[in-house]
Amino acid sequence: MTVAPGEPENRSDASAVPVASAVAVDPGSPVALDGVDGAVAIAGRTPWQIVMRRLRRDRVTMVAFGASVFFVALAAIAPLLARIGILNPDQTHPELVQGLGSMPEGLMGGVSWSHWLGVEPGTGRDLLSRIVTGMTTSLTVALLATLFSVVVGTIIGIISGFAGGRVDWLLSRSMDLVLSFPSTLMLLSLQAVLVDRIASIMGQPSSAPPPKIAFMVLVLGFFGFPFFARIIRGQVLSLREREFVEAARSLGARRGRLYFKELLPHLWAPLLVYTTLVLPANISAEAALGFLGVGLNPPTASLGAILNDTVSYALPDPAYFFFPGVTVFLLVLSFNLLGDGLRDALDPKAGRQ
Amino acid sequence: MMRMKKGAAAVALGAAVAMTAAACSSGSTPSTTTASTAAAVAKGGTLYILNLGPHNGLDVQQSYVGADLQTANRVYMRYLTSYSTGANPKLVPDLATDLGTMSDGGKTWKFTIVDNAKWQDGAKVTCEDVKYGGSRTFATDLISNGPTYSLQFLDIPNDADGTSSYKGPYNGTGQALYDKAVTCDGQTLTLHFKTPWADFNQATAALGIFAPFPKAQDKADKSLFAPWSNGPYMLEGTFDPAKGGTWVRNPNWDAATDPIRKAYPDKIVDVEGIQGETVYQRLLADGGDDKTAITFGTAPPSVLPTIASTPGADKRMANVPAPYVDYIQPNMTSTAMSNPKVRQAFAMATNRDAYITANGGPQVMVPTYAMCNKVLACYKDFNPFGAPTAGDPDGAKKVLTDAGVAMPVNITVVYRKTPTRDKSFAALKETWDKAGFNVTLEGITDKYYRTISGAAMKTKDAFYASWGADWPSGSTDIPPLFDGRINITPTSSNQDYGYYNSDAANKAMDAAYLITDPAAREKAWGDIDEMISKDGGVIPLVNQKFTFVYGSGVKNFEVNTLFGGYADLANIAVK
Repeated sequence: MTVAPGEPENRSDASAVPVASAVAVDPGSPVALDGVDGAVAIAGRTPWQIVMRRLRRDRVTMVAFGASVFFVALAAIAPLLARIGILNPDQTHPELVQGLGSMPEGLMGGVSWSHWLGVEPGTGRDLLSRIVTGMTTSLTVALLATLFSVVVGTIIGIISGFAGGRVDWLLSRSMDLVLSFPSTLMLLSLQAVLVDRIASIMGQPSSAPPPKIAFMVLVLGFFGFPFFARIIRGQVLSLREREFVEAARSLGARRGRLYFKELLPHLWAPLLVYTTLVLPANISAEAALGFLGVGLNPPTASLGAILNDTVSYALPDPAYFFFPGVTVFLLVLSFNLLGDGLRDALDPKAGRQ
Repeated sequence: MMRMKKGAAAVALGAAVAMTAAACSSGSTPSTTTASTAAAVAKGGTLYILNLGPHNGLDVQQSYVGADLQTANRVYMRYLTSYSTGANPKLVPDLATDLGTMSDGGKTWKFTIVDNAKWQDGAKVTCEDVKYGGSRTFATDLISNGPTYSLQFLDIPNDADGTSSYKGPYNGTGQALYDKAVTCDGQTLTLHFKTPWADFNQATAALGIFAPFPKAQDKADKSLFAPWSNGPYMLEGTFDPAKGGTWVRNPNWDAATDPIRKAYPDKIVDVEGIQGETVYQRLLADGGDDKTAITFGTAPPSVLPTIASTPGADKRMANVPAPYVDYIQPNMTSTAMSNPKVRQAFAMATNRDAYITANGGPQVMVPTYAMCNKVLACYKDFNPFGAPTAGDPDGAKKVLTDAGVAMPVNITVVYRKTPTRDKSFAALKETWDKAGFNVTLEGITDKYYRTISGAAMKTKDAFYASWGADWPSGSTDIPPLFDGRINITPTSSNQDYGYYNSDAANKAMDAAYLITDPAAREKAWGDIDEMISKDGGVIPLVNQKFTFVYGSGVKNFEVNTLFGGYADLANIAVK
């Protein structure tokens, strides 16, 4: 299941209080009965321990977790591998693509010992290197954009939910406004103007490469923030009536303290869940943008740009079409499954047993 | 400047593309032209043309797309002169009785219009119609996107703001000035130019600038898709630019009065809105109506292997020289490129072989060092800095070292973004970087040519572009691209993207225009071509080639090298 950042919060669990923080005892574990002779010692578990326990029992989620860690780790060390020459994303091999239409020679798009996934038609660049370094680009953009959404969304959500009244109305309506924009279209049409504007704000000389990463992060992040803000607002609406908030307020706590010291610790569970769900959506969005030609300047690889090129080779070079597509599929799938699993662990009521 | 049909540009995938032009060739005719067998052909049947679309316009005074102008000339609009068919096309009279007579050193031209040509309503095509058609170009507010040579050449004074004092037939301002520059005496048309225009009769064949238009049928800008025919076919119903339209026989056209067009098919159906890959999948599958289908879009490189592996496809395929030359123009105003040694090193390190491989190989393009296409008479075989087609990064580095330039030289190269060009420029970057440059590639998707000619791009170091001559002469190649005087304005470089403005070259261009002997004139353009390259003013990369596939039921398929290298509809048959 993919969650688009623009999707309205029609999920039943979205506005529910994260149960992990409310339920003290895991219903699935043996209940330690108080006062029974010879009973095992009472096993007090923190909510975190309960969640971890549930997670460990969920095999699919653990596999997805492993895969996600693998992808992130690979993406993180890719620049290093490229520097020491294990990956060669920009090295062309025209001698490998001399045929008609410059197709790679050999089976499966030129798979060989030196090129495990074959080479790119036209240039002979190593496909594995391009995919791995492309993953670095795509994950960086997706992660930063998600982070941007989380930070902005949390702050706005808390303010909106806690303040209520006119402030809430204004913030909620602006979120609706942002959600109602077709974000991909906006990205396409804004890029020419915004990239220049960002460059001038960053004080870059006009001959320097345009700050496209900053642009993509800002725009993807901006269109993703209402998704977080609405969920946080829903949580805060119920949290603000709770006793500990009342207590803090009676003791004269300031707003800043209420927001970030009292409320925020209760929000980490939904934030974690939706971060893992928005992240793959942003990976897809980055790929889609690369596909539409908005992406980064070549020769920098990104998954979207690679996919964009592979489409026309679906018939003559299916392997070239297949490998990058499968990579994006696995990447998005593992983050999505991880997000689902996390949500199940943190909120057993919405389980998928 | 003539633009390539979008279908080819569809090229998102591939091939080349781009803007520009039509004709090519004069004299040396490539032998690759494939004419299918001289099998017996008969009238009848329906010819389908599959294109990407949307169509840019059917009004020849509002069109600059090579394939569209060629189609117009063969299907519904006879011009004063035209190009003959076959493997060795020549300039021939069409609506005029001869090729026109030039006097006053090329400043006056006279044509006599034939008496037996008719419009689709039976009215005679008169000298007044030709004169009226020519006047439409001046209504720049309503008639746009067409060639503007008339504004530059016709002997009509300019206003203070540099625009012509004649504002076109709709507005009527300055009509007397036009009536003086262009006169009709019976069927005899006389034109007066400000400066000599020695190859004007080539322009009237390649472009629709002096195509006739009856005043009564003119709806100004609304005529864009409402053509009035004097050719073998006329439009049935309406033409939808996104979907196409159908051409049926024009009952008032008489084959006996037309020396060029055979008009074999009964109907021609123009189908717009099909992606390049899909067009070729359909043509290769060769089923149903597609058996009698052709296309004006060249095969994307990813389709080439499929063509090679389709049985029998080699018999219905043409691989021919296209008019377009891909080139890179260094920006003379940029900090790095204003140094001639840097330009030389940049040119020497350019790897044309890698560019060609990334674009699909030798079937798609051939390397060149000249801006004049190899099929043009102005083509001169030279190599400005002696670097091989694969580039000479070591030699380039030595040039930079000897010149004492600090390396790496940071430069930004701007190009028109497609997935294929992303790869071809990444391949070019490799040798540039090896030579001591640090290249940043900047791909632009929207309004490419308008963007790079704007002031915002003045700081970039080099630009990709693609160009084809309007008619087979260096005069439509060199001055439109490298004469800074007619191109550079405070806000735009127009077509001189690199702000090239050399006194020596400008002087040589002025002199070349005045040469009346065609062979000597073309040779002079070739010399200027070399002069600009040696100055590092331009780095020509390749001559493009077209690859077309057509249905198995198409007979007499031939491409016309003078008409932009597209399928010639004059002789084509489907029965």
